[in-house]
Amino acid sequence: MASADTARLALRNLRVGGPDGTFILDIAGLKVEPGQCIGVRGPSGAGKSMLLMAMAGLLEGAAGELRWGQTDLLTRNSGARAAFRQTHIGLIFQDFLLFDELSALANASVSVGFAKVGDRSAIKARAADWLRQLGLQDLDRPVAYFSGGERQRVAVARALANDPAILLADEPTAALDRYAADRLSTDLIQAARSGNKTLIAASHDASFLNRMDLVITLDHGRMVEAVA
Amino acid sequence: MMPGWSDLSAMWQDALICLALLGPGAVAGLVVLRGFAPWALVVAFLRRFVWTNLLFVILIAASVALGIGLVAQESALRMGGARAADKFDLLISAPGSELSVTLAAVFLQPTQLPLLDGSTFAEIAASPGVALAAPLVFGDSVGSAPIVGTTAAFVDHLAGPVAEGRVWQRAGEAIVGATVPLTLGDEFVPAHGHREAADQDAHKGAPEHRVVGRMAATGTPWDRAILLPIESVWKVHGLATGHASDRAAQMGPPFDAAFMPGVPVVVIKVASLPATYAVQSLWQLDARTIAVFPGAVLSGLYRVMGDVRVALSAISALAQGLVAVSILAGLLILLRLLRRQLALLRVLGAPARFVLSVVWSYCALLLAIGTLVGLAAGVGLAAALSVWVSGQTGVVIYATIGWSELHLTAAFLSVVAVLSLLPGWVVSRNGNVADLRS
Repeated sequence: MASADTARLALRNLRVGGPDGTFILDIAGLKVEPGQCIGVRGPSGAGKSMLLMAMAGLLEGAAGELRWGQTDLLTRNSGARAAFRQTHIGLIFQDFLLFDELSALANASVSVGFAKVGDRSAIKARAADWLRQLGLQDLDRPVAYFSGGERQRVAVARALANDPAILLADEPTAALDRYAADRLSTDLIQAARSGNKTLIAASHDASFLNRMDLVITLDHGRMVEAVA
Repeated sequence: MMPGWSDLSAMWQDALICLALLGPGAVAGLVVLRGFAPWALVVAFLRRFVWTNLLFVILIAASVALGIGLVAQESALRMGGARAADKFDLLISAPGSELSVTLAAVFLQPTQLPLLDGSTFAEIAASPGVALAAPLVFGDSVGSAPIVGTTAAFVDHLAGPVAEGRVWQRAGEAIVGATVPLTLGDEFVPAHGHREAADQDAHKGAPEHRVVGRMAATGTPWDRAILLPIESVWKVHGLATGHASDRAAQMGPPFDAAFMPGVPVVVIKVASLPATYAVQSLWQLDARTIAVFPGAVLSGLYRVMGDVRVALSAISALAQGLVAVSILAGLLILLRLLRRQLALLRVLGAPARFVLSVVWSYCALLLAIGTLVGLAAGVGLAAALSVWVSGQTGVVIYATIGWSELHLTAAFLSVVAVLSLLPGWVVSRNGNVADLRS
């Protein structure tokens, strides 16, 4: 569930080693307040996706401190990190990663399969609610028949279905046309602001980044600029 | 055995054994699925690879059906054989092979048998306790139907009152088995020998025989036989007819030993079981004869077949196991195509056991569907094989799926349910981020 404290990020000396002994990610420090929308930009290979993966607790061998509220993810084992993601983090990917054979609602509420029995109906209801808020009507249609923009909105609804405090989006508009990208940007930012969620999105989309509270630039795994 | 086990009915014992065999698979399922609901994703996987899944189901079903069908058939053959021998309590013939005597008398297989002479037959018929001593002679045929010469009393013993027409009253009349393609009034001249080896002209010039009756069905090879008065068979072969010339028209016993050609087999019916053993003992010890219990001969044969059954079951189980393992290996390869979606589940926060439960459910469901379809197909296969075997042997058999086949199926289900943990375990250990980006 969304919690203001959990949405606060404190990141210090985050380092991820590469195979040749150098650091492919080396972030000295970053602080994000709950409800902030942060854009991450940089050339391909700069470490944007890697940073998001680290923030989601998905990287083994990351060193330093990565604290969401009181929880330092880097000190937790993989099971605890997975449990943290399930409860507090919503993830959105460039290529949606949906199950084509399942309906929009089944995709958006896919986490009911492993959620506590008592939480399942709430997750499903929230997923349906978000799908409708995002403009999707036919919730029982398999997503294979959806357009790219519609599919990404299903992915956004999936990320929001658990009511997470944190939204991490990796190039969410990259596969969409301009109209769909702008609409999705609006929806995503609105969802974050209305729910006091922290949104961190890696993107090349200038239009999307321009609407963020803070945009940081990565190059060769280092943060070289932060523009409010 | 647990206390009270022997108090349970056989059905309850079989049912409990079935449940016990299903136990390991059920426990694996309960442990893996506890607290999870992976079914939506399993349905997605089934839809994603619908044709491949169908192929896997067919392969499993075919292996299970073949195993079940063959084992059921073997059981049915035993029962059919036992039923065919039911009317043949004791056979007496000249010394030779007990199996040959049984095959000739019970299954009407063409066999060369030494002959008993008339005086020996007379002594056998006069043995204490013998209620029926029916001589059987073989060697001729009409088309594919073997001809057996015997007595009217044997016809009644074998099949009861005739289903159609009447029993013969004079030489030249015949009774056909239930499935012989001749109708009342049809006439024929016997050929000497059987099938392709039959000499159609051997009895050329002999008087024609006319069908006057049809036996009730017995479900044995005798349904395909044509029965003549034994006197007719001897006469066709130019032999004495068992009666002195002043009684030439007599049909059936008593026979005159001086005018009786040899008989290969005598079917004996004795009033009581102890008396049957006494007669068997008497004639088994006589140097001129052997006395054969067809049931005992078949039991000996089934003991050998019992080993075959064990081997057949083992080969069948092995084949099913190999097919199951091959399919699980195939599924593992197939699941590589889903590695991004499966990694996504972990990335969304699903425990590794949830991924295991999704993969396990998918694999176990396919194998279970295949097994159950195979069970149903096995019933069909067993029925089809029964029809074919009945047509080949004349022994009517009904292969049915019994508890032993259900036990085999339950054990197989359990094994594949446990084996299905393997692909789930492999997939759940994959690297999430690497798979997500693959």
